[in-house]
Amino acid sequence: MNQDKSFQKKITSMLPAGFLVLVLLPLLLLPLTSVFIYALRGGIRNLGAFLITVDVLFALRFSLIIAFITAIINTVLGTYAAYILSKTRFAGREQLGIILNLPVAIPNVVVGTSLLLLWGPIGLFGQMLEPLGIQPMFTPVGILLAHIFITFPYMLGTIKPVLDDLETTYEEAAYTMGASRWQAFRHIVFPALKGGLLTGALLTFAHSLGEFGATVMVSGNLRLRTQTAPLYIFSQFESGNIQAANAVAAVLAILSFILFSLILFLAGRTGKKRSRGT
Amino acid sequence: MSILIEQISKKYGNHYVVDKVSLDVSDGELVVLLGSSGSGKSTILKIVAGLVLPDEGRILLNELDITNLPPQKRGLGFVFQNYSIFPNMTITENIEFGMKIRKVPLAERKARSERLLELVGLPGLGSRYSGQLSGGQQQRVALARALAYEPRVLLLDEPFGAVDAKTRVQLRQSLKKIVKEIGVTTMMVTHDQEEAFELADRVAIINEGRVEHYGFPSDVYYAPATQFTADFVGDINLFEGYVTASTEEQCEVNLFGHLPVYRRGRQPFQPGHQVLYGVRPEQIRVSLLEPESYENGINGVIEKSMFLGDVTRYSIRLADNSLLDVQVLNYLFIEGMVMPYELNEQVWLIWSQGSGIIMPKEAS
Repeated sequence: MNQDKSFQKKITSMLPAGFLVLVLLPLLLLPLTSVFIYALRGGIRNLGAFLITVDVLFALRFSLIIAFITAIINTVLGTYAAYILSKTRFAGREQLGIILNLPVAIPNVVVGTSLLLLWGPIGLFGQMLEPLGIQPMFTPVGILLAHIFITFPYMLGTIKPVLDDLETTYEEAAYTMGASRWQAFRHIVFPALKGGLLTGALLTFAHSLGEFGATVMVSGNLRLRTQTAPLYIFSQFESGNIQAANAVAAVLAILSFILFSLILFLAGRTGKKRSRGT
Repeated sequence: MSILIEQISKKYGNHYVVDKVSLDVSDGELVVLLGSSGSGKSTILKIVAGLVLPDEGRILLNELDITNLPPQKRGLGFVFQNYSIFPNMTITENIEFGMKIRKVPLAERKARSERLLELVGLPGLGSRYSGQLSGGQQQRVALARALAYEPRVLLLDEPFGAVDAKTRVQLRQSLKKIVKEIGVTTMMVTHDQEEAFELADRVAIINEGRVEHYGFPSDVYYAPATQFTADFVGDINLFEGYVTASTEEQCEVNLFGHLPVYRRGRQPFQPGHQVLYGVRPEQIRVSLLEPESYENGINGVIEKSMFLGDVTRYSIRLADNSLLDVQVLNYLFIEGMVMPYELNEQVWLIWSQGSGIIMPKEAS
């Protein structure tokens, strides 16, 4: 009797988790699996053939470069913004914080459209720049502008909580010992931020790597010039070349998975460090 | 190095957190700012350190005006309440930080940090990180770090706030020894009066951003300048009364409209002055016999007794229905020098005419 009861209890306690797996598995994991199944349909060799075409190699390399530059620029900008928002007091600070986080709330396509309206050939600034021969839209610069805009809040969101947690007395202690503001930042604040900086940079990189909505607007989707990996997948799909699309999709999925694991690992490490009080 | 604080004020919004504070600290002196939380004592310390700029007033270090000097240029040592040991550096690196900024040569840095670790009783722990140290050890590191570049003045903000009671007592002893050994002028902030009395050469009682009393610990305790000080430091029985006679030899105060009490010595009050008369619980003796003519006394009924370890505290109901607290050392009962008192027993409360505190009655 008792055994029956405990068995029943075990089953009941597992029900919520079971439900979660049943619902989420088809929602999340199955589509991902199907990408790999389709990609591997013609065998590994076939997959490799799809991946070493000029177009694919360009798109992948281009995506990685854009993501890398975006991550570097936003690491600097995001850290600066987080420092100002966290450590200085001024009127309108809260409002500025909301504005800086806005990109998360705006659909990426809208970001692309607004950038076109500003920098495009008929845009506000674009009109002025065109006679000078400067045309940022439909070039890598335009894509960079879009990616910096869209991924900006990720860096800010990772760094600001760390800075908020870092008591000002650490910096004050450094000041009383003779350190300038910059020395205090370099020796005290920056080392505390290291983990967050890496996590934020990886997060920015991952988001930039997969960005589609704004990129498709500002890049013009020009083959071997402005075509990123997600745009390549889209184009191949549209023209019915599903296996080529799947091959690149699988590569992107693996890259994202690696990045995501790294972020989780880093976040876990900083979390542990913080809870140890060091 | 002497410190002179002249009429400094600091306002946040419309609220004065520091209100015209003036203090002087002599070379090598250890002054403690004692007050409850929110009294403004830490802000005063931060103003001296340059971490907060005052709205008014001046700060002079050896007669040199440093009011507008940034903290980096003041050359003061500061120990924070949370110690703020840099978590990314070893203990040695923490101690050497100020010297490194000042470009002290490596060999000298190493020698000095080792000497300081010895001084604070942590030899051999230099390669550890703050997370591997206990609260007490961190406090010692914070002290060593603040002393590393031989500051002219040492400032300590609640330095024992984050350690347990027993460690606190040990740390207090070693702090005083170290500070006096080096001879550095020191200002410390605390809310713990025992700590203040044990360490301070002079104590400043801070209340609502103002200095209520600044003086030697014994004066603050036995001759408080204000009702706040009398109440804040130790326990006290306070009664309203008025002066009936005041001579060079003694002052006579009438309590409850019928009870004359006397205080030896000249007091700055004239007959007719409304005053507060205070007597501390441990200054009162409980007796079944009437007081002598050279003593003050009043009778009442024992209403409550509380055993507190070293002492027993009695609350005695007086004729006018007010309560008076008395403290009796328990060893007196054990040795049979005093018979224990029963509840509801009628007793005399007697105290010397040399004790008792007369203060001006503050308008409320």
